[in-house]
Amino acid sequence: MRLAEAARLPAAPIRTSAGRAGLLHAGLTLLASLAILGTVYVVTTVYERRAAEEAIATEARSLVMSAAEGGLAVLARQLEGRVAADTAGRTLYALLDRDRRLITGNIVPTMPDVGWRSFVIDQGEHAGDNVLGLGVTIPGGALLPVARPQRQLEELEETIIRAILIAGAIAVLLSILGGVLLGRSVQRRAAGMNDALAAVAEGDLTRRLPARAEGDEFDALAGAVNATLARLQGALARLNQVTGDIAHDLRTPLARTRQRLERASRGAAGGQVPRAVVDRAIADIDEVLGVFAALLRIAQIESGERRASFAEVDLSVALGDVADALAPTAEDDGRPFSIGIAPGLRVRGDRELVQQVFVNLIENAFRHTPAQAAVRVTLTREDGDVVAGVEDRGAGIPRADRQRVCRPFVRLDESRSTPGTGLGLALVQAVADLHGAVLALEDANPGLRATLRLRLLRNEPARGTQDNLSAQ
Amino acid sequence: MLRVADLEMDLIRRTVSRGGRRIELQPREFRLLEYLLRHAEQVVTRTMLLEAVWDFHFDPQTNVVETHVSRVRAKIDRGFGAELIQTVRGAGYVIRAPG
Repeated sequence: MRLAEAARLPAAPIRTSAGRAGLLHAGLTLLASLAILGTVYVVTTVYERRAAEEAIATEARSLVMSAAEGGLAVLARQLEGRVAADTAGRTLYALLDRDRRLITGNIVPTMPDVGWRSFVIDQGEHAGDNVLGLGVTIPGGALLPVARPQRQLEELEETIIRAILIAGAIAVLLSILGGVLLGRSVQRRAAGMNDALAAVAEGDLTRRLPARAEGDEFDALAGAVNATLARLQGALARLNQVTGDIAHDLRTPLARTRQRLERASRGAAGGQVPRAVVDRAIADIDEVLGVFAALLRIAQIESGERRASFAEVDLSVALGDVADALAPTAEDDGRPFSIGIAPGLRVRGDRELVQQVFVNLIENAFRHTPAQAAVRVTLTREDGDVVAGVEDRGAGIPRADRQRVCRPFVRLDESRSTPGTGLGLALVQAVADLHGAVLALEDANPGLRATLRLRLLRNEPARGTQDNLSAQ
Repeated sequence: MLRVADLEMDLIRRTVSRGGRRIELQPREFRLLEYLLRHAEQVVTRTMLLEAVWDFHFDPQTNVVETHVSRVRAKIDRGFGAELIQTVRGAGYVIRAPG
């Protein structure tokens, strides 16, 4: 409950990572827009100013040249002609004599001098205009300021600044909008995950995180969590199943034993319970203890802690020992029992567990087939794998049941009457899983073939092993 | 050399004889008898035999121990009158001189 409430608590936007991501996004977008527009402004105005200076300088140079050729009078006429031709008022001149008296021109410059300057015209038709001017000296001492109104440049600057303001405003709006949308989307998806996980925490293991087909980081995360949940759900379902089975499988023999002891106690002559009844009760309880032991062993194997003690195992020797130990039993029963084991096949694993698996598989073959049914134990190499097989000529297991029998407590109806805990193949399966091995139950036509496929250990055998082999 | 009554085991030559008569044993049967002889007069459990003779640290459902003990017993006791290997009910086996 507490987890669910915490998850739904509304958080201030700045506190959520989604809100922070949104803000960061907005800020960065704004900065980027300002940087771009600022660069445009600087580059454009500098360029425009250069262009204006260039035009003024070119004009001044050509005027100085014609003055040098034709003298002041020619220059003055030329200027008058130019002023008359320029109706837009774009070129401004003032030809001043050596004493700085105006000869001709359309402006009266204040403080005329040689060189560049920006100034405001204070008389005449261009009064109030802000101009950029260049003063040059004419040979003979006259001064010729050539100027251009800076109106154009100012207008351009204004236009650019206006554009920057408008674009900036749009950028700000868009980045805020983008930030909010991004934040919202992240927040919404996080909230969806939170809701789902809260439901899981409250016990609904069927809930899954929302995952879309796009496959972004959120979807990958949701997929991983969902896979975990699916495994958890499966494990819990199996656990529930096993718990129920344990309760049932242990309750039955215990209740039976109790009944028997009660009856014996009531009918006991002189307070003496017959020894046979006590022995029977002990056997029943041993059976129950056996189930517990097997369950604990499976649990221990499934915990994976035995993997730490994995070592090199000569499977040929391990399986050979098991087959040799069980062969006399088959012989006593009159059962054909054959062994075909290729030598020197080694794997990495737990010898004890692997041997118990072989014992279980061979005992299963003995127990669930008639005494005359042949059993064959084999160990072969198949490419990079070692395949241990136990094959019988019994009735086999129907295809539909082959998966099921590897689960704890699953016993087929045909074998209900034979002794056993129903945990033998479950242990085999657990050991196979621990070793990364593949357990397969196949049709042997007729009969059943159980195989365990393990990864072959390829490196050169240790010296000691070689000596052992040659000694045999 | 291990000895109980007229049963003798030569550990170096790996031979067994009773009353001077040579008895052939399989390697595993030899180890089983050797373990019983080393613990003569003591009760030896199924689990102890599984670990010592087969190096099995689990309990097979099959009567591996019983089957092998009965084979060894058939070889060393049959036709010699007194049984040396005795079954201790609910506990295990013991090898001891009769009487």
